[in-house]
Amino acid sequence: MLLWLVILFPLLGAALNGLLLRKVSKTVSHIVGASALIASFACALTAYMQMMSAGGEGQVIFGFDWLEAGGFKAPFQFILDRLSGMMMLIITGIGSLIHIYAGGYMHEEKATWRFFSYLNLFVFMMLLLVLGDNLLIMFIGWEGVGLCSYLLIGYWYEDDANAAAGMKAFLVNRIGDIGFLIGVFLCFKFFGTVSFSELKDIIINGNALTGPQLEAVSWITLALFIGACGKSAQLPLYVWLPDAMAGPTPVSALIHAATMVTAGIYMMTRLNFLYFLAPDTQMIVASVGAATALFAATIAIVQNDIKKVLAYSTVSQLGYMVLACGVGAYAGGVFHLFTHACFKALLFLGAGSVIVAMHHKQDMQEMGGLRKYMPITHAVMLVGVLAIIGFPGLAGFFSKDEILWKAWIGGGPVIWGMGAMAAVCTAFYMTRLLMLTFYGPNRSDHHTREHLHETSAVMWAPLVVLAILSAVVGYLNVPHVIPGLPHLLFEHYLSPIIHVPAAAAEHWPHLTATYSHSLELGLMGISVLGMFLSAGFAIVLYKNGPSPTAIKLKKSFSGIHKVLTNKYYVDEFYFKYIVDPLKDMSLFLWKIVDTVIIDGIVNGIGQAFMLVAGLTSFRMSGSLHRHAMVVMLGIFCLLTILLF
Amino acid sequence: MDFFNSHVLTLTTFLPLLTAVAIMFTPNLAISRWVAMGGSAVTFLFSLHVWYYFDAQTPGLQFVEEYSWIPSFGIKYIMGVDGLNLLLFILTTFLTPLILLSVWHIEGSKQKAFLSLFMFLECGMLGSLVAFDMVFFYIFWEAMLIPMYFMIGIWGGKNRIDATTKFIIYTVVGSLFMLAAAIVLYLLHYQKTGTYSTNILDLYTTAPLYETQLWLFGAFALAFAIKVPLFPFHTWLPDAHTEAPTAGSVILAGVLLKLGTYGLLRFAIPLFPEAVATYAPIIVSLGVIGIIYGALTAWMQKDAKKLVAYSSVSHLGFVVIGSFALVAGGNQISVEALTGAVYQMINHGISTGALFFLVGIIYERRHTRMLADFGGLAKVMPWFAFMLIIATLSSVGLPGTGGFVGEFLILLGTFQSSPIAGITASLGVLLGAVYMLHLCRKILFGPLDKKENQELQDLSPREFAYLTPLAILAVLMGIYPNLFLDKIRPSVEHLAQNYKQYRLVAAEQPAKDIENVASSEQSAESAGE
Amino acid sequence: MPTSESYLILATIMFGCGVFGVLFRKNLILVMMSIELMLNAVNLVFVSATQTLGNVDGQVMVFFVITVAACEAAVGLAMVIALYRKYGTIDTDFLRVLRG
Repeated sequence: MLLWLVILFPLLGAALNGLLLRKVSKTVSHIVGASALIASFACALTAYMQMMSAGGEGQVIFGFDWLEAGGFKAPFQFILDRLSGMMMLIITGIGSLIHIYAGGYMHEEKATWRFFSYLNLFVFMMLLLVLGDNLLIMFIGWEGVGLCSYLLIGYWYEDDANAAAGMKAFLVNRIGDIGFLIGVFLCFKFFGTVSFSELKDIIINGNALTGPQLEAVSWITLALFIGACGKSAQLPLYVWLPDAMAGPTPVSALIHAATMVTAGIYMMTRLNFLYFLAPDTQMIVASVGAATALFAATIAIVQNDIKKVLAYSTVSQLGYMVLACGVGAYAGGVFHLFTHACFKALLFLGAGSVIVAMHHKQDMQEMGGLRKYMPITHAVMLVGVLAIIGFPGLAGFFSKDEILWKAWIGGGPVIWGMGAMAAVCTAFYMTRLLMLTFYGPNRSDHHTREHLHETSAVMWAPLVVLAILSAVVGYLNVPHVIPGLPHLLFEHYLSPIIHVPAAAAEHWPHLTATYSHSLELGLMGISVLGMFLSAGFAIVLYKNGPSPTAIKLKKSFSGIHKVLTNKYYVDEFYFKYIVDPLKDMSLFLWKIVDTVIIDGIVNGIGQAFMLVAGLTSFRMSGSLHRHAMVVMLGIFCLLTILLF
Repeated sequence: MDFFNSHVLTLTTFLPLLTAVAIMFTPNLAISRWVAMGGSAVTFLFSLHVWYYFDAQTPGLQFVEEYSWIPSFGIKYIMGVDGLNLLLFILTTFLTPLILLSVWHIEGSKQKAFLSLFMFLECGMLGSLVAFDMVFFYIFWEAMLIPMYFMIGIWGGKNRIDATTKFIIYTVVGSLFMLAAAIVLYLLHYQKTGTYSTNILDLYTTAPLYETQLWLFGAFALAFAIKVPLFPFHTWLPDAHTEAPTAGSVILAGVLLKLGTYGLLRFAIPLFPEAVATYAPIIVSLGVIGIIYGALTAWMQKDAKKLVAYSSVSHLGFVVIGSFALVAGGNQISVEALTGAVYQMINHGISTGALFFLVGIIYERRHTRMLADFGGLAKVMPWFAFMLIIATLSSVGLPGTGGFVGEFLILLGTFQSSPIAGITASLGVLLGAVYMLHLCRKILFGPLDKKENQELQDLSPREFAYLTPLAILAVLMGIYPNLFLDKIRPSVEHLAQNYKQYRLVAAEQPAKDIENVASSEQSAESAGE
Repeated sequence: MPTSESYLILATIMFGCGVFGVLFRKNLILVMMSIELMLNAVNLVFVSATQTLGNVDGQVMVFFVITVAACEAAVGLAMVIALYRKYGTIDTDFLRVLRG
């Protein structure tokens, strides 16, 4: 029952704001929107506590029969277990903070009912996604969050670029969604069900899978992974996420950093027993994750738009999570999801505060020295940056190093190397962001500088909460090698969710094997060292704004710099080789096939008749008597033939 | 009451005709509007009666009325509903009052004739849905064309004459093939059984030779494929839609096209099952081509109405492939796909109907439908934007709207039947989003830079009144599909699993709550015979 | 009492007159009257057949034909009037719209 309330509060908030409260003041919209989320969070917390105090066993809550046809059944049914419970708390908890913050951020808007309505609807859809007990309920949420993302990216729709960015996000996601759908079709074809619990029963407790089924598992997991690539912004479908920054910043924080984009990781973790069975797919997953992590990190190095840096950073961090899933370290992936949700929401909201203070300017080249004007924002951003670059003791350190360690033992040195390189890049670009924004001289114009000031409490209070979280949550999953602290609490917490099927155990020796602590410590040392060096380099280059050395470096590597600034020309490539040919094709089909060929044939038939008629019609004199005479003659002939 | 229950289909079908006649004798337009609205509302209530008392447990034919008309030729008057036509029947009666509401404000000396023709059209559509006699079906089928011809030809746009002529000739050519095939079937049935019958339930038992079936199926399928319209017989549709007045477009997309797919399910498949397996790959291929082709063509359209028209080609392609998704070695149709096909027919009627209404609304305000003339309307017409987005979402098959349920089931079933077709058709889902979001973006978003657009009025209460039911239904169909699926399930499963030897009989009990009435009625009838 | 042959001969003559009228009169009214004449010739055959065969079907058909003829005359005359209004003449030599 509580679970229903968790879901219904955001829906109610969305409906109230969207349908009824269109004329009220924005304060009311804000209060309705935020309190819906807080109420939802309270219910979620209670439901979660109840579940955990009952032993943490998964509960299935049946709603109603939703979709049934032939052998296909997808009841509207929820599952509340350790995984979905945790996700539910992240969504409603961080969601609440962001909703509170949004009231301050959207203060200058005329009417915010639309914004809060979409935002609440998003939370509703996201909850459906994580709580659904079958692939189809998950898919409602899956596409639903895509819709809300589309609406929110295009929130300032009067600028055509925003509308275009929203559309791009929706369409690129849809490509992934088709993969997801195909996964669902395959799943139904070979297993006859799309329910998570039934699938698990079949795989874990059922008879050995047949050959075709085993083969199908590879395809199912691959198809679903395409869906994950779309939603979690992995290569080659990541292109929508940077553009999605066109939306208001709280949206970027909630949707495009903390929650929606992690859906792919959640889905793979939910289906971990299937993915374990498909080592080939897992290899692809790990490679894509590692490649994305590195690829996006390199782009982030040269971006000047503060939100773009964070966007590529998100893509890169998502790559880590996907990489973790690929090497079978689901707990590590989900843990990074959790810590990332905290510090990336913090970073985005902090960036949002900066943007508000800068009168909606986002170019870091015009910032600098904001530390003086915005001390609280600076402090929390510092925590966030340290957390994401993996400064020892903060959240990112624990979660990222866990993934890198698993990448080494599960994926080998190459995968680890890519991950470590990405970590080095991360340290560089995040420090660069911090330096350019908060340190050095202020480079903004006079007018902007006059109005620089710290944001209101409604905006910084959530940041402080997030900063505290970013600092401490890492201790939930301390690796073995660090003495004196409870180890791997999170991994144990999640272990009832992770099932390695007996048939697949041979492919995953590293999950059970023990490794020497010195190796793990050594790798950790390397990555920490790399982080310090790279961050230090960034400090040297950017502590007083872009230093002459930085500009010289840019010049001497202008080729690489150009490629990176243009994001490897991926968008251009897609437009030139996919979108434009399709447009040409579309025009061809319309102007040539439809109008000329098909209508030509149709009209041709008509004209053929006209032609024949034209050839014969000269016999028609138009004289009534002539016609009547012919008729009579005809009758006479017929009668003659018939009678004689 | 017993009279009502046993004649409800006849009453529902002919009440619009009666209304059409009554409208001719009304003294002025104001009264004729109310007469039309009253007639169509009562028709809708009658059809709700059918819905309510429809027994969802049996695949049999219900509310059957059977009278002999020309015994020497075996021509009867038979009407009935089962799961295949029930929803379409209700959809027709549901859309008619809404459409009448949408033309409520139109003045002019010819408007009375319009209302009358429209009611006549409703009679034709309802009749061809519930008629179970080949001759009656054919009469209703052709009778629908007459009002449609005039509606496009008199109230249409600039090229209305060309469009309406094209529409009529296309459709009639197909129908004539069907007529010829029906006569052949009729004679074959006579050869086999020694009795003349045009009763479709009897004709189901004919089972002609395989070679004959190939020809007959081809003729029937051609007639219905033109109506659907299936690629490459679709070129009449964009023209007809663009030239037709809004009301005509809505009913054309909402119901008339569905009669094509309904005809495939009711006639072509069960009458000539052996030919189905042979033709299925061709038809599915054409359907898939239609999905992709319609979507791509829609994308580049500059005229909003034409865009929606081409989207129909794409959406109906889904229905067609769902109807021909053979499984179990060709001995069965996939139940999932067939359910989806029947569901998608209704859903397309709702969402595309709404889209045509919405395009009509901005056309009335601006007298243009060119996408380039709009932009940023979300600012001045927020409720219009709301409705357009709901219709769009249903059209692109977003989960939570009816479109998803239909498309998902169709694709699921098609995938079981042929993975290649399933995957290719899935691309249609993507392309569907491409052109619909393109439409939304061009109309709703972007800068509000045209002067004419800055003064536009948002939806009037009357416009709300006819859009809201559609919006609610579009969402309801996605959230609680069982409300509808439960009614059609037995019939669909019966057809899907037994299409090779399809038999349809009148259900024993017409309905659950009227058993006493019905049984006394039955005994009276048998005594009469 | 004339024989049935004489009825038939009379009917044939009437019919022939009708055909002749339709074919060679130029006034549309007269053409229509000729058509009536042909119909009445047929009626005569029906009546005589009734008498010969002792079956009333023929007389039934006569009533049927008379009814239809009346309708035809009404519609036909209306069209003639319409033609006159439109073209100012009912001379068939001038009505040649159907010329190919």
